[in-house]
Amino acid sequence: MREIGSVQYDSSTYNDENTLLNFKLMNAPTLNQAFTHLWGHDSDKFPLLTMTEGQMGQINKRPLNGADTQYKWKIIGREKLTSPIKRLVTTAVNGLVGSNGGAIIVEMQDNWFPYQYGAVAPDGRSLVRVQTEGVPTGRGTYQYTFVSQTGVGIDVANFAAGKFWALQAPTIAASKSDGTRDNKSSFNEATNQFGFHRFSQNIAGNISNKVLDIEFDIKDENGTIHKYNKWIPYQMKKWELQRKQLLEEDLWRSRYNRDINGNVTLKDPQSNEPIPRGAGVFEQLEAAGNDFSYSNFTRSLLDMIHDHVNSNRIGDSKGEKVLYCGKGFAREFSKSLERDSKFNNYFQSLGDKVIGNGTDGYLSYGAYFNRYKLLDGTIFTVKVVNMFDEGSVAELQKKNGDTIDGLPYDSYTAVCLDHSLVANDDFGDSRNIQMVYEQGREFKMGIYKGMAELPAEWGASQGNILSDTKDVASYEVITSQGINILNATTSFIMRRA
Amino acid sequence: MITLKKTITIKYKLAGSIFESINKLAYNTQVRSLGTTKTIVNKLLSNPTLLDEVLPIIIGNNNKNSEWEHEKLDWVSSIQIPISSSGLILDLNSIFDVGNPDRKERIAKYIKDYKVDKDITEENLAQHILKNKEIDPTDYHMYFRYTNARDFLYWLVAINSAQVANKPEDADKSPNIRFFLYDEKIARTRLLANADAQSKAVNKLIALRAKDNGEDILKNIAILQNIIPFEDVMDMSKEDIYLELFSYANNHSSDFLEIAENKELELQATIKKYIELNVLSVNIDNAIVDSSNTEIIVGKTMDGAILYFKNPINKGEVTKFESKYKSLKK
Repeated sequence: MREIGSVQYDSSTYNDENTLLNFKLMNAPTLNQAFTHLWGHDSDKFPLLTMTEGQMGQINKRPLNGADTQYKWKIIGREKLTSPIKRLVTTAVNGLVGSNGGAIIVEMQDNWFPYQYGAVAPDGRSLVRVQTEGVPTGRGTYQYTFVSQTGVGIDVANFAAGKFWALQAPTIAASKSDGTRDNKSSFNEATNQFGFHRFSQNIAGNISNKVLDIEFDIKDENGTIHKYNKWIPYQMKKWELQRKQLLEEDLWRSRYNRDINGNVTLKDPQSNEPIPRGAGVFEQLEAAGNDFSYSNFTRSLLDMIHDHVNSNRIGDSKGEKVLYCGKGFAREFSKSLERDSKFNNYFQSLGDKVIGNGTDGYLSYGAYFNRYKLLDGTIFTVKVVNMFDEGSVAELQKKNGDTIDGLPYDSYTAVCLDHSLVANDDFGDSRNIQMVYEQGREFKMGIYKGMAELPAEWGASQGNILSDTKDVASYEVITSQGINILNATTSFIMRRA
Repeated sequence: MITLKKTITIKYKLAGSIFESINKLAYNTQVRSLGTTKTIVNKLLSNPTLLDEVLPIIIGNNNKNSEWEHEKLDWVSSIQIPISSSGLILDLNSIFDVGNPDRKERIAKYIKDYKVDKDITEENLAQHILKNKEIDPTDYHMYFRYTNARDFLYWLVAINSAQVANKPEDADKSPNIRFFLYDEKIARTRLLANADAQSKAVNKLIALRAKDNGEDILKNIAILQNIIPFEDVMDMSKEDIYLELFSYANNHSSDFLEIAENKELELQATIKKYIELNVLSVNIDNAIVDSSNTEIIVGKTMDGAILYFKNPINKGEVTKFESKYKSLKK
């Protein structure tokens, strides 16, 4: 015999509602059958993963099958025409060198200027002729003799260490000239790698068959809403969303982890196997020198960053560029254009848009900028993605008090990603941004079955072959993923600091 | 009137990450941009005179129009300093003139406030201001006229930025540091100082080696500074130990000199050896304790342990440690 409940007593004098509540014969009424989501519903926190979906996806998926997780792609850089000064050897007279056709002896940091070619000074005006080939100095530099093309002295400021000079056309006499040499440039290779992730969900006993007195609405892939009153479907949805969020953030924040000798130092302590990590979007843009910090966003700042990234680029693709950002950046963007409009005295046209007619004689206030067109035709459009407002870093910043005007610093981040098609790829046209994974292991799922009942949502037959004698089971997932930007120099990131 | 000559270079950190390093040739990044932070912008904007006096020279605006406040905010917020691979040289030449009508009152007030000798030379007064820790660099414009106003503001951004190390040797102190300031004069002085220390360290090493108990001293230094793992040092030849120490003395000259001139070197090395063979151990509070009875604290620090060993009262315990060490060493 076993006692499954105990008899309760109540010493109150009257039989009233309290007695019933005390005996748990009545419950407090439920105000609302629906859940109240204190922090909102699960939302669009997966900009990169979402972009791989659908036939018109803006990110290609690229399966890789190599010896390890590293991969390479070929790159052709910008044509090099400049060479930096190391030091001026000739002594200047009255702040000038090379007056009256005198020899100017300089040390350059490389051997890029061939004999007979011209070179233009940093002042953009003074021209010299390269009279000798660069002679190695033993300090890794090259010594040249220049002569002013006009015989006029050149300001010594042009020879400050680190100042760049640029190559100009070779010049020769009408007869008896000799040949010269050319500079060679080839393509390079860039390297990155992908990593692996593992997620498990564990259950025990008969949890998969337990029915709750709550009904969950769960949307399937086609958008159809299904009603469930079992625990596992709800739990699976939460688990999948968290898994997706963590994988999405990893695509942005992952840092390359091979050392300079190519070894992975991060190892699994149980198996001693290396754990590879690839460079995510942030690290790739940083390596390309396209990460910018700002304090207050201004229109001039965006102009300047756009110029930094795109000026001097041949065949720049114009058109619409999307700035993926948090709410903070969107607010700063609008504010900066408002400030600029006021500065340019567009009070009336701005006022007409911002102050509108409401209903019943009331006025409405509020209209915001989310697009900006530049002189070269490029249009920047702001798109708020929740990852910067609700991702894990935004969450920790809110908790640590790292906020500006109520929003976490991450919310003021904006990323401009170039999704354009890259032609002549070995695999046909492909997108500039690609998701890479190990062939056959993009997503691998398996069930470890013990005595516990398997939920139908795991998609496995019950069977009676066990892998474990315990009353447990687990749902195991391995994924491999990495993000690769073929040309990282056309994308950029702005972070508030 | 005197001219103070100064240039300083902002350089970017090479190979900020391994990924950047391995892809250096592929990306061939030529220019990196140093932006502002909220703290820097607020600091520049909140100075009552800085931007009103310096900015008009840069943007050619006399600061008398109604849009001036917007201009200031816009200019400072939009600062992105392009740093090329060879660095950006900032021209910080300035003119100090006690008779300058715009500055003479401020300079007179400075002399009064800081009780400076009225007969001080212009040169010494300028240095007095520059070395005065109470004068923030954002106030230097009150006393000096910078010949390149834009570079002066860029320098203020750089020295106030958490992304910029003030010295090259601090550049690796944080992954957030992307740039560093390089002053050729300071670098040269430091190189000379390092060369001095290096030759002193090597001379000291040679002198120690020549001593009768030279081998033991070198072993003790190697053990104490963790130059060679304890388990290896006992089996190494004296030549190999010398070579390891020679390289250490060259690369960490001041550290080497400090330990080589330590009067308690032998005793410290003994304690370290006892710890290595577990005669003594270090407990959770970093105190040195008797391994056979961790309640007995030999010293809360190395200095404390030295006093314990030197105290005649503890002679018995010390002998016990010694014999235990000898038995383990066999």
